[in-house]
Amino acid sequence: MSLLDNESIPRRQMTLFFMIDKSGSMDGSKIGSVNDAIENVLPIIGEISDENPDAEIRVAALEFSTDTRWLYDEPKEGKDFIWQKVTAEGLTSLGEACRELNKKLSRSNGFMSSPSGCYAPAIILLSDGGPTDDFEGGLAQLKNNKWFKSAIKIAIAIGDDCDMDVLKQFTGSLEAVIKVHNIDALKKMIRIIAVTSSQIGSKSSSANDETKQREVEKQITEAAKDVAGAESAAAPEPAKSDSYDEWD
Amino acid sequence: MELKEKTSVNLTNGGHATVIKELGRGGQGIVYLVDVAGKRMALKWYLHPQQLPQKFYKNLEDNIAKGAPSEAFLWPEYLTKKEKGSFGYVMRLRPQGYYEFGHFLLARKQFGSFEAILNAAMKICDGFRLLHLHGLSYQDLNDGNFFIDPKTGDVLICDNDNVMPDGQRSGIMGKARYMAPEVVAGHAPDKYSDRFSLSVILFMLFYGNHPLEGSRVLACPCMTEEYEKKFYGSEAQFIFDPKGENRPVRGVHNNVIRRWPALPSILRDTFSAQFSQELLTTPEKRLIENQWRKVIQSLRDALVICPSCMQETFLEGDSLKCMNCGKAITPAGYLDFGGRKVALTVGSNVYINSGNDPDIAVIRVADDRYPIQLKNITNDTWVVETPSGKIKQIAPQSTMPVKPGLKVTACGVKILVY
Amino acid sequence: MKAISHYCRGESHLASGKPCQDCATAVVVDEGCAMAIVSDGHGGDRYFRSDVGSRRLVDITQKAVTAFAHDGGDLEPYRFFTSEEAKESNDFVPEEVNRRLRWLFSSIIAQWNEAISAHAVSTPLNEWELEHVDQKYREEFLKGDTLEKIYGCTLMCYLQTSSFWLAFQIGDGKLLTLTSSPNSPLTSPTSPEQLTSSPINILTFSQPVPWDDRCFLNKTTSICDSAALEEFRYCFCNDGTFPLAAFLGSDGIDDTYGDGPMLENFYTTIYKLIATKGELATLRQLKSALPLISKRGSKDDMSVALVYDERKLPETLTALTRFQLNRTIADYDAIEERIASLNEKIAQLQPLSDESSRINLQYARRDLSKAIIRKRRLAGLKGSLTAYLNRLTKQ
Repeated sequence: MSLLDNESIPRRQMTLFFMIDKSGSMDGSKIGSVNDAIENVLPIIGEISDENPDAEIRVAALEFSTDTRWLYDEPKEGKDFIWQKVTAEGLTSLGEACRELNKKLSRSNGFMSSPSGCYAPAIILLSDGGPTDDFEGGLAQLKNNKWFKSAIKIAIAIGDDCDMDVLKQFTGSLEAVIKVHNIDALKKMIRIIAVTSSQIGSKSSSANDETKQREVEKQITEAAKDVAGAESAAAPEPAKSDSYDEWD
Repeated sequence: MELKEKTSVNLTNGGHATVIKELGRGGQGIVYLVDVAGKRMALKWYLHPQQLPQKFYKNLEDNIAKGAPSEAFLWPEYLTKKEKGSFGYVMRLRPQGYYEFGHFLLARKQFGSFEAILNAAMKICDGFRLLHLHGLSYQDLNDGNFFIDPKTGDVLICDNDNVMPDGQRSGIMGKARYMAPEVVAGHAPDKYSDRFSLSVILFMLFYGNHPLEGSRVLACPCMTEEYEKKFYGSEAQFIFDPKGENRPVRGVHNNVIRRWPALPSILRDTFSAQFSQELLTTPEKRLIENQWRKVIQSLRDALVICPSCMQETFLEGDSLKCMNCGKAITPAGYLDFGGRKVALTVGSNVYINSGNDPDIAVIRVADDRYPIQLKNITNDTWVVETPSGKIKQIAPQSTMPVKPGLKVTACGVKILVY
Repeated sequence: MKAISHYCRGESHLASGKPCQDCATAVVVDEGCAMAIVSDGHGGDRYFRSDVGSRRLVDITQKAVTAFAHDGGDLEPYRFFTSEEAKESNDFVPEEVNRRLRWLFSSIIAQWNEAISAHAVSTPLNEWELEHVDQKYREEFLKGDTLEKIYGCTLMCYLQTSSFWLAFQIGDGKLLTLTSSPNSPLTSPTSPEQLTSSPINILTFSQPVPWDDRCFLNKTTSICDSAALEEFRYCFCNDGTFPLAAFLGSDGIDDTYGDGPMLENFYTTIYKLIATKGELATLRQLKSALPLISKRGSKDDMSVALVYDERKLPETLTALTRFQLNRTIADYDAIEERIASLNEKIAQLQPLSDESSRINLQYARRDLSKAIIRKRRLAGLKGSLTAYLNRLTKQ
């Protein structure tokens, strides 16, 4: 009998949430890029998870348009996550998506286990428009959720029609919102944000959740500077020299 | 000997009290709901009469004969005969909505406002004043003697079976935390020691912590009798004594640490004097109840509603800043009571006398030439003289503008608006 | 009563050069009285002297609680109640006990404040601190107004005397008691005497100190909070019933094992070690195993402290083994059920109708192979526990 021959000690857990807007306006190259980018970043998250002695990263994805749908009824390990292509149609029920996320950010009938041995989740929201339902009501619910409060929250605003104020309300600060203006920037930023959030979010550190959020913001804002067509929403508006926009 | 339901006990006046049910119990006895000649009342029934002093019964009889000093006292009204192995007395029932002061100290109940706290303070002072006026003293005073309505600050004083003629000893030992140092040391309680206890109660009412319990006292993990004698008696030291050996403790005395600098200086000055080493050992110099009432009145005069955050704050001297939001406050005007000065902001109440019912409400009257007005919430008509000498009458529930130069006579007091 | 404890520096602290910020002790005062104490110093940069804070707090608590054991708790009426109940005006809660407990906690806070102030005065910033501590926290230290933050830590304590037991806590970490269930239909007691003499049969692990929801993920309440007194939670019991053992672990332990069956299993192993190999061998094991557990698990500092009734070791060992066996049987049954349902799902998904059913089939197969591995492991465990239990009951 030894203290070490108990069941193998599980690694701590960190859950990465994708919230994907698949409303009608996302149709075409936007949703295609999202599918492509997430599919490609999942193996990388799997690697980060495998090489990370601190934590195992699990992934959950919620798509929303007129309705909401979880890709799977439980979070899956990053490397096991089989991406199912999302197709775009319908409205933007972001409020309903918030309610749905709130339900799963919970121990009872949700995706979370005991806070002992857990890291705060990371949540990445992708959207190209404004909510068409009761967003405020949904967000108000979410804002009372302790997991949500502790979570790293980043939003990607796709194109110029995006309601920045909504994304700012969701993440809690404009610094946590990244604007992308073209397909290439969208793909790159999905990858950068997913990787950065996973790395920082699953790190054992004495830093508190707020500093983790700041650290992710700092790193992705820096990274965005090197990606043409992407910038932090908190950055000053760039001079409009070239009006070319492939989403026109 | 506990009493069963439907048991009837005989009263000394020939009537009887019939037990309906138990209401609660304490160390000394049980309180029952009883029926006395068709009226519902409370019977306090002693469980260990043999432990009570000889003169206890006689003293109750005397107090019943004297009658309650005021309606704030849940005073003994009838005495039972000595029967069924014990005796007891009958008093009024405590109405709903009143909670033991101890619950406020444990944050189980919270006062609705500073106005309510001031009302409670005024009522407690007044109770003591009348008690002493009757030649009585309280003897065993503690946080269980006061029941307070958190909304209004109304107070009921109970457990009046220990009230004795001033200077006599009831033989019941109170809680050392509330006793004057000389009583802890063994002297008989009197009105001077009552005044010390009053200061302790008021301090705890305003600041939420005990005036003598600081770092030095808390160095002992268990309060034994020996330590009590020392820290509430021979070596008592105020937590803000200049010696500074017994400071409030961070993490424990959070209330007093926050409120001591925030509440008006008159309160700090008064308590610093009352708990100074000099007054701890010179009982005769302690503040009399009437002086306390003046202090509370001036606190009332300084209490206003901040127009920015609508919270209560105290205005003091020339610095007119809200203690909650920090914004500067410009009063709509002032009232001069001949020595007393009261700032006027919308939502504030003004107390002309030391009673617990406000007399003037400062209200906003939208679209009027004078948007801020004084509402007469007394039962009497006021007489107002305008600067040009016109005389107007303000009936109850009517209003008058806050306009400099108006002279008001209300409740027999002359007031100048400026 | 007996008590043991051990604490060690966590893997992440080894890497960053931080000292061990946990501290724990276990003290046997006399035959009927023992206590266990754990304190966990905060890890953030601001709390750069929390290792000193936790050591001081453990010392102070030990002395204060020893005094309390002598003078503080032997009071009528005989009750079991928690700080949760004492928050409301409640006739069930004896005010005098509540008052004495609040006084004890106040005294611990007061003495800790004094101790850390004295330490700050006598120990200026050292070389390491000058080099590694952020300037704003060094300035905070020099200013001296909020020293408590710099030394901030949590506290957990269990005290058992011949007349009562008391568990209290501020901050995170888990405190478990192991009790012989009084609700067992076979041994339903009619009096406290019968309760203590009734055979140990059905065991229960519980966490008697109410949890504070403000402790969540890496946030915790602390002795350094301005309302620290109000954040102390406790459970007091003088109704004549006592736990067979109490286990205290800093959050390094529950971040490794969670707060459910695995944590209980960890303490079960420790208890069985004591019962079979003795205290010294158990301590040796703890010393060698805790750093490795930290490395594989939470990476945090690790503290374990426990108090147990040595008179009941043999019978508790048997009951605890039965407890483990029952749990293993339940797990085994559950995994069999899962295997059946996965097989059913796999059958249903075939032939494949679309892309989604292909993915689901892939997942179901993967889950099935995991479940089968687990079933084998549980079968082995079931066998060895059964054999062990047979040996124990024959003796």
